[in-house]
Amino acid sequence: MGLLAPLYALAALAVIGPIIFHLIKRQPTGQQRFSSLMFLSPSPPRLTRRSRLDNILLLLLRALAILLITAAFARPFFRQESLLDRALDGRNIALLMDTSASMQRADVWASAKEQATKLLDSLSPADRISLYTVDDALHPIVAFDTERKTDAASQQQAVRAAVAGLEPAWRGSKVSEGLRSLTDSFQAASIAGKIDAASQNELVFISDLHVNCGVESLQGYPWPESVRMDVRQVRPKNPGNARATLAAKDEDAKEDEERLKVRVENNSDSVEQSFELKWMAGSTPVAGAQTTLQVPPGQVRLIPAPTQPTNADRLELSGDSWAGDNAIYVAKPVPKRERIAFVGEKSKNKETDLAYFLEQAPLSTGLVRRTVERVAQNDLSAFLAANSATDATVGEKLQAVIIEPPCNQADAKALRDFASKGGCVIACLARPISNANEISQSIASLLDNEQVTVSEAVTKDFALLSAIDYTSPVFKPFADPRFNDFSKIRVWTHRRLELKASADSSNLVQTVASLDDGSPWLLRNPVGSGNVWVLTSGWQPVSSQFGLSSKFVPILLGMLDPTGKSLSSQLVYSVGDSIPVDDLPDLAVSKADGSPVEVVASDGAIQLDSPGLYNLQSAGIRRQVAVQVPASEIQLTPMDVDVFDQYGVEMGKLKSDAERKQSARQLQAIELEQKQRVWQWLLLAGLLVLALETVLAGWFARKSSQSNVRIEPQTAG
Amino acid sequence: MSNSDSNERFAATRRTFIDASSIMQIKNLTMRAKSIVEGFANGLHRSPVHGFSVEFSEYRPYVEGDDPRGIDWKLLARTDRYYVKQYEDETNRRCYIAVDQSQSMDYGSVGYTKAQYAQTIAATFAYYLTLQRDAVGVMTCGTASADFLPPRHRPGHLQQLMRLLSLESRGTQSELGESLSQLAGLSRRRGLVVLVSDLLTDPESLAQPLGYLRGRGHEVLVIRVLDPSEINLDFKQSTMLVDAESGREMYIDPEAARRDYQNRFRAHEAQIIDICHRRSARLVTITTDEPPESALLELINRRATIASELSSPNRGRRGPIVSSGLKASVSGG
Repeated sequence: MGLLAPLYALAALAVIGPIIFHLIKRQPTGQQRFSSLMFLSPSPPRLTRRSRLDNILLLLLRALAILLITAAFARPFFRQESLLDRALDGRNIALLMDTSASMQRADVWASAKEQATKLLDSLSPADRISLYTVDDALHPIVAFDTERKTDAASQQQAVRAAVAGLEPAWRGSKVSEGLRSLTDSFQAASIAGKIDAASQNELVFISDLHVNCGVESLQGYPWPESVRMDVRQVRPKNPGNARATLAAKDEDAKEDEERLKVRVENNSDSVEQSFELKWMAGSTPVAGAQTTLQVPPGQVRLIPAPTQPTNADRLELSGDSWAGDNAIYVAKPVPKRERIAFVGEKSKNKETDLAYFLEQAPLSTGLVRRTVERVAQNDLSAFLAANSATDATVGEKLQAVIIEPPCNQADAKALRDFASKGGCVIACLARPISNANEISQSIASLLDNEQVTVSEAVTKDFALLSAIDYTSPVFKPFADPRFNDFSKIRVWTHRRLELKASADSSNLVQTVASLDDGSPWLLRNPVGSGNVWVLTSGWQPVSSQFGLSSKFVPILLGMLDPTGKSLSSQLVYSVGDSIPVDDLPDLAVSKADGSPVEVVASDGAIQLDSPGLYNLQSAGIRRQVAVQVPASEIQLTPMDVDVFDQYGVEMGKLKSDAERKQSARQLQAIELEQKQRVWQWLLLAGLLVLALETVLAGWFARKSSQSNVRIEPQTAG
Repeated sequence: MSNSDSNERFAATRRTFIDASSIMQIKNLTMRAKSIVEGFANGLHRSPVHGFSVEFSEYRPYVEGDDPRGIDWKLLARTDRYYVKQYEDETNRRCYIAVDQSQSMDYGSVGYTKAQYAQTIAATFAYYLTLQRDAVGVMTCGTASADFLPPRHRPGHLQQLMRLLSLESRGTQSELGESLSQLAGLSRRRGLVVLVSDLLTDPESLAQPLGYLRGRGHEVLVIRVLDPSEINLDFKQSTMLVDAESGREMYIDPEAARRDYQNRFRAHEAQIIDICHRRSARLVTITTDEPPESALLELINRRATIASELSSPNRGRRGPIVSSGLKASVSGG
């Protein structure tokens, strides 16, 4: 016998009521007026236990009625153990742990691991669990075993071991990306029939869930109904965080003003508001290079940083509850030197001298210093041979060679080899043709295309650029309509160049820009990792207005560095950002103290996994970058978990094994009780007893009133 | 007519009276009194009261010093002798009915209270005496401010009497003696004083007022009205009794308290009898379940006694009047 609503059984205590009422009934319930008490003295009644409980039958009936009705409300049923003890099905549970940088807080990570262990302890042996981590992407640690190659217990053991060895990373948070990937994998497995579509898939997400954890993109995501998420938010003992970042330099600031400005932001839930900012050299602070500041919770201060000592490598903030994001690494820019060789003699007339305009053009940037040097036509082969090996210590590299054809075959071959190794060769047909065959052969050798014909073009007044390929890296910066006006570049004289399509598909010659008479103006022939460019007019004023145009420098830089690597002047990255590097195979990455770092490289870029100062050395060039904790990990105010509900996420607490068993038994008990319906009989019996009690009580009352009829006093006389 | 003869006759007639509870069903006090008196008269055609007032008239020879207004001039014309109607005034007696309206009278276990019963008796007396052309006055006793209506015989006086008698009980028992003293002061001419009360008060407090009344030359008839349950305390269950006058509460187990109560009640009754005997007042005890005609019968009996005393050689003597009651407890003489 079991009870569906055992709390109602407490109402059986009401049986005390009739007993008390029967006991106190002997006390006078009311008062009676009497003419005078002058002949009376108080006489307490004789109370004996036997005399107080005289209506035993009524008492028993009333108690029985209460007990029967109480039992009816308690919904009793007869147990059938065979039905109640069914085995529970295993669940598919994915444990997703947040390993973003904010989880680096020691007490937060310890709490997260504790939650994970508690979850593993509460599972039933048949539950299949997998482990994933999420920072800026989803990482499977113990992947969901759709093939069921291992049994559930082994899977749980594997997850337990993985959790024990898990450490948080320094990357940012993109929680929604991870959740979407995980639910998509659940759905994919369900569609593929690898898991039962009807079964409930549970997702347990353990995270500190701060306001910048990136859940916004869940808003438009159709969350599958078969996946239910249990969010277990872990919070630090000391809330709040302060973060310092280097502010961008003011455009109006003087060039020689080298002093940095620091932006200090304090979270709204912080307790501390007094901080110290100091320069550090290694692990020791630099004396005299520190300052204190007050930033109330929820506010931002912009202050000038203390003057940077020469030996200091980072600025550190102290005084907040989490020190993990307090260092500002300051990378020192290492300028790269590149040389541009112009092949040809110096002309007396500047207007006709190509090199003169090259030398005047500001081709250097903050990170690349470019110099133009002249090389005699006869010395070209020797010059190219001498510069094939780059001096890494000096860091000077021959980046480009600009030549005015014609040139001999050997030089042309050497130039093409130079281009194939990453160099840039620009053949500029700057002057009217005197020996067309020789020039044609030179161009043919440079382009490795035998059927090249060069002739002097006949133009009336001038020619303008018309067909421009804006997908080319040279003209890509001018794709915007605000900048693509090339009508100022008038080409007075140019050469017509005709070439047939090469049979070799790997050797393509692209026409990057053409003139309005249909002849190509700029041709590009990618060779190896470099390019050979052919310009059919010169940039000197007698040939065209190109050299005087504002677009001369950007177009020339586009030709010198089509990949844009050299233009990049970024020194500060976040953990997980892609850092472009020049030469991946030769890349060596080391920390500021010289210890080597293993990096993951892809698509010409690397990613670094922890904050700090790094030295990147590739192709003989060394540069320094600073890697900071991602900005999304600054604002660590906890987020309300109800946001997931607003985004349509199926939320629900993951039941432990004991709770599931209890719940299952409860459901089955309800089913049994509804079949048996014992409560109806009990209620009917209670009502019958009540009716009997009413009849008996009435009978007793009438009998009592008859016996209480006043006896007439005897009168004498 | 002797006392024993009249008692036997009254006892015989009492058995034919209408049940008290039936009489008390009549709401109007005047109608109730009329019903009692007429029913009483219908049953007593040969009552000694019949012709009572006619026999009472008497002439005596005029003597010097008598008031010449008393001379019966018609008789003088017929007989040429001077006679004086000496007792004509005596026949129209004054009757003062004092009704106890204390809170203790507001108790009853037979469907009506002692106060209602006492009002019925007083109204019956008033109605009967008015029919007899007697002057009837009423005073309410046992209240802080006693209402007094002097005895008169005029049209509309009976209605005033009935209105005064209809007042509810509102006083306390301790003021009964004081009210009687006031009555003694207000009643300058002698007559019959009928006190209707339960006398649940200190008996000694009644001794002095009764003495005053007797000193004024009044004949005093005390009709003690009791509820049957007051005599034997015949409650069945333990209960919390509340004193009707003081509001004092007392828990009573009747089985345990009955014997003691009866002893004290009897001692109190003996004291009252003793005081009435000493003050020459007639005491009649009547319970509320008895017919009210019994009291009327006692009144008539009392008047007959007075008439016989007046006609006796010892008339005019202010001696103690012998009482005879309806019950053995009533003092007799």
